[in-house]
Amino acid sequence: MPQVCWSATQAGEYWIDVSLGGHALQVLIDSGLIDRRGQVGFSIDQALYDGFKQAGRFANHQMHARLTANGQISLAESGSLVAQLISPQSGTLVGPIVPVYVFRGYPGVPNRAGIAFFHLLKGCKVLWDLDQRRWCIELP
Amino acid sequence: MIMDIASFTSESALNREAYKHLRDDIRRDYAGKYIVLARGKLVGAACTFDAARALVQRLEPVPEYYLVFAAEAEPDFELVYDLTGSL
Repeated sequence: MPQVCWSATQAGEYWIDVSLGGHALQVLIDSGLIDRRGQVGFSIDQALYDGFKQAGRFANHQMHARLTANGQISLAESGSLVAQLISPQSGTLVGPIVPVYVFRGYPGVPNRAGIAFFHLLKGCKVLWDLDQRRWCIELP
Repeated sequence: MIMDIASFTSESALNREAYKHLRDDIRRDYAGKYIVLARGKLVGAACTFDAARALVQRLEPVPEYYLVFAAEAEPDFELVYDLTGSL
């Protein structure tokens, strides 16, 4: 099975390459971004989000209640785009194309991929080599 | 706007119960529009997401919690955890 892999940074962060609405991005894997319905897969910079919105790129929008680590709940909007992995080795699009909702993120917080994005990758597996600090996705 | 878990839980339960009764009407009468649900009531519908959000601002008082969703979609009554984000 083909794989695409990313190595952890010295800070222990895993950044993966994705195409979001046709826009190539590096996003931080964030296991703390969890949507029970499995639809909100990313949180992105506000300016980027607003750019997508103004360009009419979102297929749909929703309003959500978002719980942060300080225990507070606030309203957050999302928009839906299609997402696909980009191989860091070849720079090509790989894996399934998935429709996913994207949060308008908080200022100063990096672009992130949450659990729902990975759950939407039908037929794929995440292989996390803890010793080598590599995050790989096995493609169908 | 920030709310506590108790407010969210009670408001969400109201909206969920209301949606159970309104779902078919919403899908039939408001196809192609965005719907606003707050305090267990249908606030209104608009052609765009932002226009629907603006309907909420006309309420007095403005509710802490409300839902905006496409008429063809299921609204999100659940909390989304964003434990890295902050307010």
